[in-house]
Amino acid sequence: MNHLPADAARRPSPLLTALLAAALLVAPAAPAWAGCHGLQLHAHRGAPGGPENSLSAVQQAWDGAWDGAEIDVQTLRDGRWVLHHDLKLGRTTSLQGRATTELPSEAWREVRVKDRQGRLTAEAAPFLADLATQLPARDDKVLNIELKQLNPSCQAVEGVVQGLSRSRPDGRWFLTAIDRRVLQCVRRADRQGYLGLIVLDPQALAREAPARAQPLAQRVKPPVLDRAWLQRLQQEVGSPVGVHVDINTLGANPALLADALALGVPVFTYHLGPDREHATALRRQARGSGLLPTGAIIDGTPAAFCDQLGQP
Amino acid sequence: MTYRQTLAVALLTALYLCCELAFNARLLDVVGGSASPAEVHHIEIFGRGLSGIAVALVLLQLLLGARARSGRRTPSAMAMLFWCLLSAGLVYGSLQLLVDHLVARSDAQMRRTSLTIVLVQRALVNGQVQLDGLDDDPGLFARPEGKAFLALFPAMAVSVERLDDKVRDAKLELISRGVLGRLGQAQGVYRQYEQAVTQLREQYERYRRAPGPVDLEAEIPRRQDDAWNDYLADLGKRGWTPSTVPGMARRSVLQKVRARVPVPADWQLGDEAGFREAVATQVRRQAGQAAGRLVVGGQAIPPGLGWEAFFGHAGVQAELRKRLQLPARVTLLPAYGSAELFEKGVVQPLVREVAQRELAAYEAPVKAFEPGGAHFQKGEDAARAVIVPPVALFFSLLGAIGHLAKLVYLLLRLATGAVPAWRGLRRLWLVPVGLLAASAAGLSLASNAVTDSRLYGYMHAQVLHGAGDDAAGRAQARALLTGLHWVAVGQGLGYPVNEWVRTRVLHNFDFGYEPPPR
Repeated sequence: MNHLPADAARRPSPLLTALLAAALLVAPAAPAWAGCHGLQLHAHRGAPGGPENSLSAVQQAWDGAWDGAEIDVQTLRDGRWVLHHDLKLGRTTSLQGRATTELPSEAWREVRVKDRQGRLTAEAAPFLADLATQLPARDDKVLNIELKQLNPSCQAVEGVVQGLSRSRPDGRWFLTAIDRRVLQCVRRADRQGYLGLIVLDPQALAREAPARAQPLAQRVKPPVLDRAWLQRLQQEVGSPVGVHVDINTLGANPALLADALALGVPVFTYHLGPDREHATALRRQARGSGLLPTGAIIDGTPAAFCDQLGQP
Repeated sequence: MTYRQTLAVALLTALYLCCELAFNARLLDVVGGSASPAEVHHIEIFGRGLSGIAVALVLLQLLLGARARSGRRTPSAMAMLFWCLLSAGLVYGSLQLLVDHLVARSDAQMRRTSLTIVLVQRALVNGQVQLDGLDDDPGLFARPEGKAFLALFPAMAVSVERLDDKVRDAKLELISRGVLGRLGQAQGVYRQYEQAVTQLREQYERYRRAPGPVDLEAEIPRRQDDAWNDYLADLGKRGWTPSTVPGMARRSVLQKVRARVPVPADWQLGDEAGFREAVATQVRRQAGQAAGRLVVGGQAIPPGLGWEAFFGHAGVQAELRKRLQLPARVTLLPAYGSAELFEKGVVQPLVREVAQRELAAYEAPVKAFEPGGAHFQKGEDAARAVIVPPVALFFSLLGAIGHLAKLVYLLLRLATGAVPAWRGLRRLWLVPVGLLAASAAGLSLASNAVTDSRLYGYMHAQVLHGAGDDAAGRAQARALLTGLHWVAVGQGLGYPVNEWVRTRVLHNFDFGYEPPPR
């Protein structure tokens, strides 16, 4: 499989990790930003102009300046994969209070998505298969798919890989998950494809939690991602594998980018808060280590993010 | 009659007198005003009824006297009641027949003249005209003698020689004033016009701000999406989609949908196409209703009209005319600038036109007032209006005066029965007869502003002149003039008392007629 982040996908598979590593070496002080300092920018749950995890939002990301679109997928009761982020439906859909696993495909077809202001739209909640089929092939775009489902069966995960392989044979997609066992299942079906492990940062989560929970943030510690941890990840999941970390985790592990570069592990960053904080954290990181991650999952537009990143 | 019977009859007579005097006061208001034929007819019923009671009371007294003289209980109470009721009914019917006979007896000339007389009388009542020869007293017709004159004017005017010629030049003016009076005077019409225009302007502003024609091509999909989303959202709040609604809840869901969207009764909850079609039908129907929403004067106003075009629309003009009670041929403008210009531009031409048309009846040949003629009915109504007032007043006065005399007689009877020293008095009837004679003499000799006026004198002379040289005719004319004089003077004197009885004793009983404010 040749699905991998950004322009690396066009290169032969054996060179993949080396090219990904090269993407980590970006000079932050360069006056002209070639593709935002080489950073791949993925639209978080699709472009902000469309409803979260909707076909239109992904299409907008496809048509816009983003390098890809990040989406979240879960399974229905009948095993079909659909785009949805939350544990329960309601915040972004017409249907409320149910988990996707409770619904048959017939019911999912009747669900409509809400826009980012919470207003219901006429757009149907999408199936992953439909998205994969309808989204045009673009060699400059990549689909970043997070397997949101908790404890999915390997069979279900392998089903995703097989479906994507059929519908998007250009390989310009990759899968991520917070559970490395899920990634191991993916690896069985996809020996060469890039996989990303999402590292949840409890401290960052606590900071974004409601005010009464925020004191917890000081008590919990961000995960330690050292070289040994990265090597273990490579061993358990198999390369090419990367880590997708919160900027808080990145700040708590100042050597992460250097270690990842050394091991050829791509690093993507995300942030639960505004893009401005995200860009500021990366700028600080670049000043300290001279390195930037492979890519970032952003909520706004690439131009705005790059402007903020390039500020002195 | 026994003492108690005399007392009872006296009380009944006093009670009747109160009603008769009060009725007389109100009758003068009616016949001396501008009452319609229907109002005159209505109060006539009271008059005939009271006259019937008056005769029944006389009969009762006679029957009671006969019963006392017979020494037996004959006639019986039932017989007396029967005869009293019968006599009252006969009098009631007879008076009706009398009036109808007098009206039917009028010839075409009388009917034609009556039309003119009524015209002048109405103009007098409404203060639209002053009669030459009647002292210039603006308050005269508000006073009893003035009202009496107005009531008697038609009866006297009938005898005025060549009356039609004498008022010919003034007819059009009188008719015009009558028409204007019906319209509510020029200033009043203009005020109504201004109010109507103000309201119309507000209506126009609402019409102008109302959304224009709906773009159905865009509106239908939008409304379809909204309605379907609302439906899904409502279901979603309960954790359902159309296909997952539990069986037991499907019926209530369908009812709820049908309350908002006209889907068929057998619509399936997941039938989005059917739902959308129903919404489209609903939108089209609402758009159709909205397009015809503003209906004025029975006509739909098309959208997008400017103020001038809106005002000139046939429906708006019809509504304005209806509100101002103007005929259909009048076309109004949005503005006239002033009441004077409005009067000149709208009221005067309208009044002229209507008056000219009405004048045709007054100028019509006598033949047109013959039975079957174009103006027969109009002339007969006018003749009735001329004949009824003096007849009604005459019988009312007759009843009042006769029973007043009778009451005096009964009171004397009671007094002689109660005072031992007076028991020897005989021929008590001479007292009321003397009183009547004295009253007649007093009324004949007395005068007031009306009877002293040159006009009254002229009409008096005209009545005598109209009687010709025939002795019987002159006697009739003199009797008529005497009666009219008594009424003119007597009403002037009696009206305040009668009105007091009506307002105080009978608590302002109006006999079905309320005079309009002067």
